[in-house]
Amino acid sequence: MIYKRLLIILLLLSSMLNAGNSFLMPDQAFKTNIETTKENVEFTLTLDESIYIYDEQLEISIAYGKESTEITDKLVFPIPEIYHETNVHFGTLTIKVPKILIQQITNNSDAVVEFNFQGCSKAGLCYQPMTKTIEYKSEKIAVAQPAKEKKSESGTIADTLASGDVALILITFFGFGLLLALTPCVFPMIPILSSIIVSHSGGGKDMTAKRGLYLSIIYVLAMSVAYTIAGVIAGLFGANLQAALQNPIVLVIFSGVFVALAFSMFGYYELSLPSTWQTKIDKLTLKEDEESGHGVLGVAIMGFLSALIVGPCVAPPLAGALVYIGGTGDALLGGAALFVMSIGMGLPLLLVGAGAGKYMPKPGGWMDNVSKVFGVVMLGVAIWMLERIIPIGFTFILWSLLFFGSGLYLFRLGNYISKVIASLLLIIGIIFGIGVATKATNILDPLENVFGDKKTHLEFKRVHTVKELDDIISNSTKPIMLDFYADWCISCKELEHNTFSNKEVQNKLKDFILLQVDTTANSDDDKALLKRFNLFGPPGIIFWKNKKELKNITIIGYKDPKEFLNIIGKEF
Amino acid sequence: MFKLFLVSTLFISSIYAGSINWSKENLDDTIEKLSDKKQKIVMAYFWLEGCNACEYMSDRVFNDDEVSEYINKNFISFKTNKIPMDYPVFAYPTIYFIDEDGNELGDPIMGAKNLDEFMFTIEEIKEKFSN
Repeated sequence: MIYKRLLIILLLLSSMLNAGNSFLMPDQAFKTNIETTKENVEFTLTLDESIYIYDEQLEISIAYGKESTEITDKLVFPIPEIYHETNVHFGTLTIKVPKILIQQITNNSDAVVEFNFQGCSKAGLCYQPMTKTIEYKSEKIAVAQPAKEKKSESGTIADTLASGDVALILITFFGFGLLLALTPCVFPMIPILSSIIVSHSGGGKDMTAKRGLYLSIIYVLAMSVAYTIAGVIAGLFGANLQAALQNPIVLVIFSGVFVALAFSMFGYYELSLPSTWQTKIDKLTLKEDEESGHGVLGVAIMGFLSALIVGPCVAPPLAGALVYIGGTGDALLGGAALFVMSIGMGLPLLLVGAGAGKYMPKPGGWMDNVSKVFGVVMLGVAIWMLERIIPIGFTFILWSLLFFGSGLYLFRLGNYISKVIASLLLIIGIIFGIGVATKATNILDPLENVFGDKKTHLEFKRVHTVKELDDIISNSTKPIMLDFYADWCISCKELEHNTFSNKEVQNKLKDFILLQVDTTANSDDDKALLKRFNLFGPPGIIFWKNKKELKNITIIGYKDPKEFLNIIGKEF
Repeated sequence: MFKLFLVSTLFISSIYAGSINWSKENLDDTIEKLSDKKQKIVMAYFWLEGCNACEYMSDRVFNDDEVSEYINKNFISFKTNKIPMDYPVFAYPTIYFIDEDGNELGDPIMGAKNLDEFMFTIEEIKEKFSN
């Protein structure tokens, strides 16, 4: 009896199952088509009428590099039907995977999109899980889309370059140069240039706008040559230029040159071209002014060196250009691009030069004093350069001596105003002296150890090799911040003293794994780490969230706490 | 009331249901040992996780007294959810009948069958191939 009932039930059930061995082969049962449209990668699955697929087994993932991310949750699927108590799909399914999503996940690299599904036939047969894949080539054109990936400053410039068109590249770089001229980067050049013009009119000759312009042009051209050489070298060697410029030997030589220039300002000697060259240049340029060649070499040297001084400041755009040039090995284009950029940068300086020449007051004895002031500024520049390689205590001593020395000199002059200024300088000198005595560590705040309220600093874990870094990243559960640091890097110290010691910043970073690479030694491992992130030197800060590098918030150069929080606020 | 009766009879029948003696060895060894046994055909059952048709076979067919008794008497049974190397399986369930030399006997059963159909098929195989 029981058996008979069972038989009836089973017969009922079996009516749903098609008899016979006429089963469809998988490719007949599941017809798939994947195509790439303007915005999506579209997967169309056409099921034979007897076929259904399990909703639960539908899985879409993106594989890129060695990683794979499941994106099933992020996509929209048709509403499943219930069949034998299971959620299934019949008929035709279209699954759209937005390209933007792929780009976001893979950081714009090539990827493979995988569609996994499993289905059965109503005839009582199930098929093996199946996977269909399509290769997705990352599209540069996608930059034009509204939801393009945000890139950091240097990224944008590298992108412009990567787009190819030579004329466009040059115009763009000229534009970048002009923009750079509006940044504080160029400000240090203005006093330098003015001082040159002033010192060159020191001989008692009238300084005309023409002559001012002439000197400025030499200055700007020399500056451009410096950048051009940097561009060409980067093009030829893909070299780590900025790090090379921060090499102790180079820094010592340059600061030596600045000391020499300072003494020339003090009137001990004058740097000029050999007389034969001078006459030639005079003939070519300002014939009416016999002595115009005087000090031209000095101007050129100053221009050349100025480019190097402001180097760290213009690092982001420069790095962008160098990344590209280093990558393509196109020395000619690299050189041309940087030349045009520095001309753009120097354009306002030409105006300053012409103006300084024209509106310069009548020369007289006071000009010598102005020259001396600029001499002191030069010495300051020399110390500033040395700061990167000498112990901080010694830096304090030098600053202290500079202020004290110039203060005493002024005091000796004896007139009322100079005594006031002298006293100020002496006080600053003394403050720096206190800095030395109290072992202050921040040149911008010599009294940090005098007044209590000691700032707390972030604790970084030092990373030495790419492998070490990769291990940490792959084992991480928290977000990661990696800071590139070097003893000689002033911006790094500013970051440390102003930004990383800020309470709000510390609060924001408290759940982060904080890593630091010390590139002071510029070892091969350091270079490999810098290269990994296309950085040309510190400071550079890279972030990871969920083990993925967040290229859009990569920080290059100094950022104050507010800017820093703004930038990382985009992702955290 | 009828439903309750139905459910309880199904439940009871499943407890007392006969079961198939599945081979504990791998397929090759199972085939190799055929010559030692009085049954001369291997029934190889390929199933898959998450396959509702396979579940149907296990729950409703292989658990049936008459079926399991018949199979145990006439076949050596083997089951696996691994993909077989030597026998083409593209869908599940698939049941192959294999002789001691590893040859396929008749057509494999593909897809779930109800009790009657299944009985009919295995009886046919038995009559055709075991002498």
